[in-house]
Amino acid sequence: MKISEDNYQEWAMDYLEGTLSESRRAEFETFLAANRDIAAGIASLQEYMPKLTASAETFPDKKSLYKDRGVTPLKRLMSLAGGMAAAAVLIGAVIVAGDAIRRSGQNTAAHMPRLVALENVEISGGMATAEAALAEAVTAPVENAKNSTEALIAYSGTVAQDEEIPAVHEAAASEVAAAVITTETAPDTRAAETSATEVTPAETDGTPAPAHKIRGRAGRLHMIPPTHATVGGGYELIDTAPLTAMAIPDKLTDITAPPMMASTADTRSVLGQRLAMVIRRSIIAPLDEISPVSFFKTDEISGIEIASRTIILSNKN
Amino acid sequence: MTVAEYDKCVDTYADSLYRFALKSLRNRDEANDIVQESFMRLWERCQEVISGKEKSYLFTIGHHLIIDRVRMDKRFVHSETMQAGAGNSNAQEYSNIGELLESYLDELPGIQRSLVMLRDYEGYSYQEIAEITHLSESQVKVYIFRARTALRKSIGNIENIL
Repeated sequence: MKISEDNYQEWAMDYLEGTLSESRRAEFETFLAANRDIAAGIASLQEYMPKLTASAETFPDKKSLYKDRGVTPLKRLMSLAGGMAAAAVLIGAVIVAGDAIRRSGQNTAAHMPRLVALENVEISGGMATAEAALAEAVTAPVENAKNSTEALIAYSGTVAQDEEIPAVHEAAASEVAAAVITTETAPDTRAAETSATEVTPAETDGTPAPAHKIRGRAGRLHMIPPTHATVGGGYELIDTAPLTAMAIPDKLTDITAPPMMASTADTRSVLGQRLAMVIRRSIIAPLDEISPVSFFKTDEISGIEIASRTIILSNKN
Repeated sequence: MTVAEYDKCVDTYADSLYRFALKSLRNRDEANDIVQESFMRLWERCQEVISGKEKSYLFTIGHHLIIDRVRMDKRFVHSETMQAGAGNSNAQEYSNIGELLESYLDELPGIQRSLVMLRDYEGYSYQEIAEITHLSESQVKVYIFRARTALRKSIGNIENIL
């Protein structure tokens, strides 16, 4: 290829670093002789080649990365879980997979990647349309799934439904995301918790109560039993800690649909986004310290990404 | 890859990957996220990563996560043009040429900045950078040449700062 003004940059670095072949170097210099402006730029770099020097900055949290030493994410998770049980969670949306967890003794738990889904969202006060739309938006994929594992996978943007979850995922799931928040379906427990978690904004921030009351079902914080050998000893099952308080979002009214919302699709979209915001504040934010959690929103979709898994809460398509 | 080999990767590459992310994003929390995510994916794929390619794998993941993050934040600079002398760069504000170059680095288009950092900070060959960034080797050389030319123009008369 003949060197020209259009392509000389492909060889410029090699020329400057002295790695061009003799013939190509001669050709390049002939080209420079005929192109004074370009030659001046090359000469300037020959005079001084700006190169960066690495800083001594170090990654401050290597312990969180190690698998065989230091503080594991599981230990941090367990520590946080204790705090959450005392302080925490839920506004009518809970992380799913309850029945899989309840099937203790089976190996399902180890197959749970870091996925969250939503269920049991109730909106009272004449919001039937919104309730139906919201329920469809956040629970249908779970309800339609054949089992809880499939329901979880249905929410994953990275694992196909028919894909075997590799063993390595089991280890990662056990260490990084061995906790889920789930509804407690025992009738007596549910009744008590439902009663305990009816809230209005007036109870939390002093502002007038909105027209529509939000009712959520509290869940319990569970740790999945250590079904994988790599988890090791020292595991503490936290399945008896009751939810004693709720993290109340700043604006509970955010999850109610505005009156002008005409179509179900619009309602679902807006509710999904607003619910995501509420969830982010009330449930997901505490998990930030465990693994990267981010709320995302594009023109088409919005949702939550936790530990690289994507939960789409709203999808215009 | 064994657990011990993975932990060795943490010891060997976490700092350099963090520096790369930090220089790219200028945000410690985001850089932290990039490192965590990259190593998590390495662990998930530890049985597939070829021995000796761990660093390349990590930086490939990190590079693309950074691009995604920048695009999401609409901070990606599409323009290839660099306004010489623009921004906050002022030779008199910096105590050495290294700091001055760092300041000018911010004014480079994102892809040029990433490539120069991979080359200078990590010492990758053009071919390795091409693999990491999914560009051709020629494209890498062109971008790096343009970046160095832009940095050189920004510095101006070398006698003024040496």
